[in-house]
Amino acid sequence: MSKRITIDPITRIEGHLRIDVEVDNGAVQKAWASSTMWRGIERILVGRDPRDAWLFTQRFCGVCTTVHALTSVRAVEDALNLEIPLNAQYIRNLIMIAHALHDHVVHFYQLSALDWVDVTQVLKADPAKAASIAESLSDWPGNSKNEMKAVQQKIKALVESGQLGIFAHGYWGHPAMKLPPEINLIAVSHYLQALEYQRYANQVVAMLGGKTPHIQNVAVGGVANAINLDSEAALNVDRLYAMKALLDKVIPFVQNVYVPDVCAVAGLYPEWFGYGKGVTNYLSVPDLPLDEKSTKYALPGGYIPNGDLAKYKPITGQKDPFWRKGVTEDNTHAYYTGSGPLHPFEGTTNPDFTDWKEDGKYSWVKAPRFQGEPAQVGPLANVLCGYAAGNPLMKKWTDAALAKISAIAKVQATPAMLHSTLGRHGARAVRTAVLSELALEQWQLLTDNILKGDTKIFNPPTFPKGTIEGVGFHEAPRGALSHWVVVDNGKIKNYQAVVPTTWNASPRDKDGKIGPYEASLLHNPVAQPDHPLEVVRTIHSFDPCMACAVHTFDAEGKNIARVKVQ
Amino acid sequence: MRIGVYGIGNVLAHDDAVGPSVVRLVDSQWHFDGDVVVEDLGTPAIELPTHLAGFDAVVLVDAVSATAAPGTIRIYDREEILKYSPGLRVSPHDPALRETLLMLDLTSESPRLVTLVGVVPDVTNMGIGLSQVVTDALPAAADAVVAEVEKLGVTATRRALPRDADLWWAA
Repeated sequence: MSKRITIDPITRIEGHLRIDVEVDNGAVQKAWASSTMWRGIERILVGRDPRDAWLFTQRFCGVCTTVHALTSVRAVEDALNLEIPLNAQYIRNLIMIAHALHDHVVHFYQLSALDWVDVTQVLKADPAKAASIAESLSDWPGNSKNEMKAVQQKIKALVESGQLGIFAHGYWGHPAMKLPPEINLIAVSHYLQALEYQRYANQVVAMLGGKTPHIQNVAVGGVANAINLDSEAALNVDRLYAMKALLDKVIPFVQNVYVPDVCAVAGLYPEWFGYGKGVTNYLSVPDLPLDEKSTKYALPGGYIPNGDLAKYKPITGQKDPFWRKGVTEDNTHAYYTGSGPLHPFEGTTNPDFTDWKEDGKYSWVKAPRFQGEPAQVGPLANVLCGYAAGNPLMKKWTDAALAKISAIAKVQATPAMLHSTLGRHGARAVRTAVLSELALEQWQLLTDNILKGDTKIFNPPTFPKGTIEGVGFHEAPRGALSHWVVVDNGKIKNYQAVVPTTWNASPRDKDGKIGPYEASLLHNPVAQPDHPLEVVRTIHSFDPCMACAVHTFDAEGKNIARVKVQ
Repeated sequence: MRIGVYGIGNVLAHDDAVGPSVVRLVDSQWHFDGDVVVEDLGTPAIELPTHLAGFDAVVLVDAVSATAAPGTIRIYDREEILKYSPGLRVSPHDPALRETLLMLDLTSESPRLVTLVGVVPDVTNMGIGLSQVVTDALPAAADAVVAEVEKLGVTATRRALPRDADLWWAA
């Protein structure tokens, strides 16, 4: 008999993502992804000064703040064809990188590692053996036997107190948990270390952005970071080196802890390369602009149809018609008036709530389409596009990760295996490693440019009479993010944000084509319908920006379980 | 003693802006002696640990869901936050508080003293502007925050020349 599961809070943050799955013979047969919360930020912006939009957009989501500030100013600058001084590009790039380093590390350790790691198994581990395994994976100094022993003692004390604290709601002892005790111990010790190292990345954002989580230093036309080598209050050599010292702490953690841990988990759950494939049209956008006109980028982006890397087509910039004309949003199954598909410049956000209807409207998320097709966004899309484009850093770290996974799994891991739940985790680690190298590159570019005597940070915008349109994009931690703005006589006339989770959590469209989350869950195993850990694994691999819950239903639609997922 | 005074909430979700509004009012009118940071953290989510780690005490202001009339002020201590946290959930950002405290317990960096000055909201959907009842509660909420900071042994002085509270979103 088929059973249906609905998952209503998968991450602990922001709004509600709801997953409904129908389970039969221990696997998902049908899936629906929906959002239960209407945001409507776009409507708040109509009539406002476009120079202020970034202040509002970075407040509209509880998770992604910085990325919406940067994307918003890019959209307005694009409408004005405004060039950005090099210092401003590099400073923004460093903020984006540091933000992503923080976000990806937190995502793996704090938000998703415990889908794979059983904390209670830590007590059975041999700390000496754990230390020697960890030392075989990398030369990170935090892997000593004493370190492992101390972590084990900490967990033991927690278990004995009966108060598991942060670990209280896990899938402990679930049949899908298969790591050896020593690997669980290594992962938990790195979970604790990640709490420290992620903060260094956050401090880089604060140093440049003025504060976190809501940065204060961007402006349409550049940044507000005064550069003066002779001033204590401005960006000077001391501050540049203080920033580098922070990066020098984060980078080894990414390369010697995060990457090996993901490879170890992947190598020990090789069957998960067989699940979670979903939509294999991949969309990413180029980022880290290197010139004032934003025509050259440190990271490539583009589109891969049907998982075929040979068919990769690059996106050359925000003006590229392949990108600019390629994006539409469909409201057929979303709680908005009209059905679409509409281009974001003509997009509307007028609510039309109907309750959850399996064959009708069922989500507050619109269905974005690229070239008329659903597309997966996120680190996997970014890495596959970079790999297809022949980007040397993307190739280097992807090949290194695949080699490491092959050695642990004792099977040959190939790029084709990345179209999967584990592939998304692996790609996120690869992207983080690539960004960790680019952090130093951008730091050097900024430092060299400042030492050359360039202190320019801002080109003032002037708004023409009449209507102008602009799009800003950013390859954010969760994938391609774009803001589309129409400005009329210097005031915002229309504003649409097409966010990564909208691409991935997309509902069906007018043709009934399902979105990436929905597709990725088909044939996903579910050992215990009332503890749908496997569904959570696949959804978490996308790094959703919303809290989520799973509902289990049987064939008649009777609720089996409603599971809040952390 | 390192102290953080933080307003939490989404300024674009009507009464959820109460936390940011209150700390901005406090900061514009009061000066605290000692190592005190006063900040509107907005919706910090996964960045909250950075703002709590290593602090001895924090006073947070946020909208809270409680069985009380909108505009009511409720004060919770650390133990109550950990115990009742799910009930405090009214908006997207707050699950992070309880979890952040528990997470920082693991690394022994959690603030010992945590006080949440909660204000019961009336309207929390998307949109700008506080409801009348919550607007009326602002002075009392600001006083409650100042009183909680003073309990930590800090001297609070009214600024001779108040600063602009800069509630830019409502302008």
